[in-house]
Amino acid sequence: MPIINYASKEIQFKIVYYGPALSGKTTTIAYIHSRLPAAFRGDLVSLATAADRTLFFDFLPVDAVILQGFKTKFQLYTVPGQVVYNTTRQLVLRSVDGIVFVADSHWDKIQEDVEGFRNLEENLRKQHLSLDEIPYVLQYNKRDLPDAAPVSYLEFLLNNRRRRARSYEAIATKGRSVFAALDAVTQSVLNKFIQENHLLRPAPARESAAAGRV
Amino acid sequence: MSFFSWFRSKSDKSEQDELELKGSNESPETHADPEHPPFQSARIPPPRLRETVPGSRLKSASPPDATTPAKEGFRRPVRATVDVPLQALLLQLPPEVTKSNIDIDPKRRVQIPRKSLQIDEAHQTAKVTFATLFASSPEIFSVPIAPLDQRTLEFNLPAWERSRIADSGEQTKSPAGTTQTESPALPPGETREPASASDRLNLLPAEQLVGETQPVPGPEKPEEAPLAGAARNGSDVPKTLRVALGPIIKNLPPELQPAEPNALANKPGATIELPLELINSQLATGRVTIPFSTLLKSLPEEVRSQFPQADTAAEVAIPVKEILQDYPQDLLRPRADQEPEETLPVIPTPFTGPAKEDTERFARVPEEPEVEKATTDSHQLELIEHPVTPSESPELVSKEASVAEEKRDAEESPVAEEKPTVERKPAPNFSALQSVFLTDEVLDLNKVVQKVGELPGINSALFFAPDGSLEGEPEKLGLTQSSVQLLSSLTLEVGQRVETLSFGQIETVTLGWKRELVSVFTRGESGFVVRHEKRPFKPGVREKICLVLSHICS
Repeated sequence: MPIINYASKEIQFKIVYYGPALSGKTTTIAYIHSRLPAAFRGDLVSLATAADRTLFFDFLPVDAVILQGFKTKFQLYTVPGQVVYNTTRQLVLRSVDGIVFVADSHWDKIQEDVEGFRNLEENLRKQHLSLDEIPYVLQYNKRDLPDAAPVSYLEFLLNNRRRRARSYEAIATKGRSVFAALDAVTQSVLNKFIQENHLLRPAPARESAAAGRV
Repeated sequence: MSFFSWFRSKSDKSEQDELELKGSNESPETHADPEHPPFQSARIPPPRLRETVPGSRLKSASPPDATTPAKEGFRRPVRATVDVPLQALLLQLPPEVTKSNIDIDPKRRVQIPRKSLQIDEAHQTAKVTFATLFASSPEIFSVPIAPLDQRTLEFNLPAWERSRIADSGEQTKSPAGTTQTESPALPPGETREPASASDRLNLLPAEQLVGETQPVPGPEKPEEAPLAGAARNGSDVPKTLRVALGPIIKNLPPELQPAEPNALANKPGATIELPLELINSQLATGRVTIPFSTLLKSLPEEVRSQFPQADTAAEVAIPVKEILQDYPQDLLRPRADQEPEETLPVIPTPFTGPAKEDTERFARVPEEPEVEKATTDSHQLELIEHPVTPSESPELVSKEASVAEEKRDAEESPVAEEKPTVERKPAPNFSALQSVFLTDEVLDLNKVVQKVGELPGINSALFFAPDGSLEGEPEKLGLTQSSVQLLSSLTLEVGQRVETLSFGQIETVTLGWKRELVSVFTRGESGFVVRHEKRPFKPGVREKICLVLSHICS
């Protein structure tokens, strides 16, 4: 659920990168962090111990999307993928607005991808949420591996719910499709927020300033 | 008034369901009082006909009376859940999974999502899996039910559903498709459907339905069996699948391997036939296993004798990669009722620009082989605004000519040990290492080794190259150069000796002394020697070191 800060006129959306261990979540978020203008992003922070790889940074760009006079701010989180950190994953999933599921395309990791996806469904269910309500996209990472599973099989495994999600073939180390996946989930999140709150479609910051209000 | 009638009829139906259930529970002989036969207790009124609800008469009933005014326009909506008396379900569960002496309120009902049921409208019954029932009512079970447990139980549809079916005239044929996915029964422990089966329905294929109508918005759509293997026409789908035997043998645990595993595994054209149904039920989990006994049965007699005859119930993993080699690709289709990706209005976000830039960048850069990928990385460094120091650029621009030049320079230069990997293999992928260590700092091999030494639980680290050069401080590990070479050669030797085991390539060897632990990570002839606390690696540390090593030796 987005957080609306009336004092600072900001709406904060939380995007969580989820997936099994070593699937490329950290690499993805680090790439995003490195590509965004430093003036408008916070530091990449590890929220827990050094061994618990929960990472976080927030991003408020100057050309933020304006919704009814409120600037939109995005907070990107990753979760530790190891099985032992399920409680941490549950905590990070609280109030999530959008999810990017990062799957490892290597053959040996397919089962972990499936278990990670089930784990995501289960953790959402514990919070009375489901993937039918939360916008999410699938990022099939490590597509440059010679031993990568075919996308058709990954789609069969992970994208066979009632509502088809967008999926992207990514190489996080090179940044391929990383921003495409993030852009897709962000658009879904914004559209959902606009529909639920019966808002007008947003205008860029400059236009809104000229018009006086959105 | 129509709403009142509907409400009253609804409450009547609830009572009727309870009465039916009560009647099924009580046998005639247990009811001693003839003056109060079943269904006529003082509290529970006798069932009433639903003549007040328009269109509620069942097909088997007499035709509607001509004097009865037709009440058109009312159709029972399709509910997202089906209300089922819990006691009815409890009675049908096998005793080994239910709690004994459990007392369930007869009025208690459980709402099961419609999409989790297999509804047979022809017989007005439905099936629900144990896993779905456990999710809604775990207190009636004596043992936990796994999400993948797809055993089902059949029950009669409640009155509301029966009336809705009668109203809409949805009489269908006997569902041949459902039986196809139900049998044969699997032994305990084997999974039939993936955990997301609750999100999938095993209903009739579309063409088998006759006279289907859609009385209300959002009707149930019949869909194909979503599992791989449940094809429209069973005769088109092969019953078995041929899988290469070599990878299966290589993945066998040591106690199940044949006398000469390599001879059998490397035999060209050696394949076995496995039942497709057994594979289909597990393919959606990402892991396919079969009992060792099934594997033995699939083998020729002369080969079977080479295998040990122990523990035939052990599960043997079948590499999914090998399965998909000859697997009918049309069986990997998505579920028939899957809604397409939602088309949303485009909102320019702060990430739209970088996404377009990356798309254009990858459209420009052609596919390059492994050796030249470092060149791409160097371009990316510039794009990502990371300054490339002069000391790094010779390593990153690793075209073949420059690599040859560096080889000559490295041989002549006294500081060749600073570029240990240039001689034998491409340069380390420092951009990837920056991502691993989450830093914008420009890295070199020395800094990477320092960072490995700073990982949680690691006291010190050292990198050794194929040419024998070291990066790091051997003194911190209490080692000399010769002892590091001894450790690396020992690790290589161990790796070669255990190659016959089916665990893959060895990654780490840990040596323990009274107070110290030293682990050697190898990849080819390079590796790390780390000294760490006398306890297992902290979560993620070992994997991180392996990842760092892979990027160095990439």
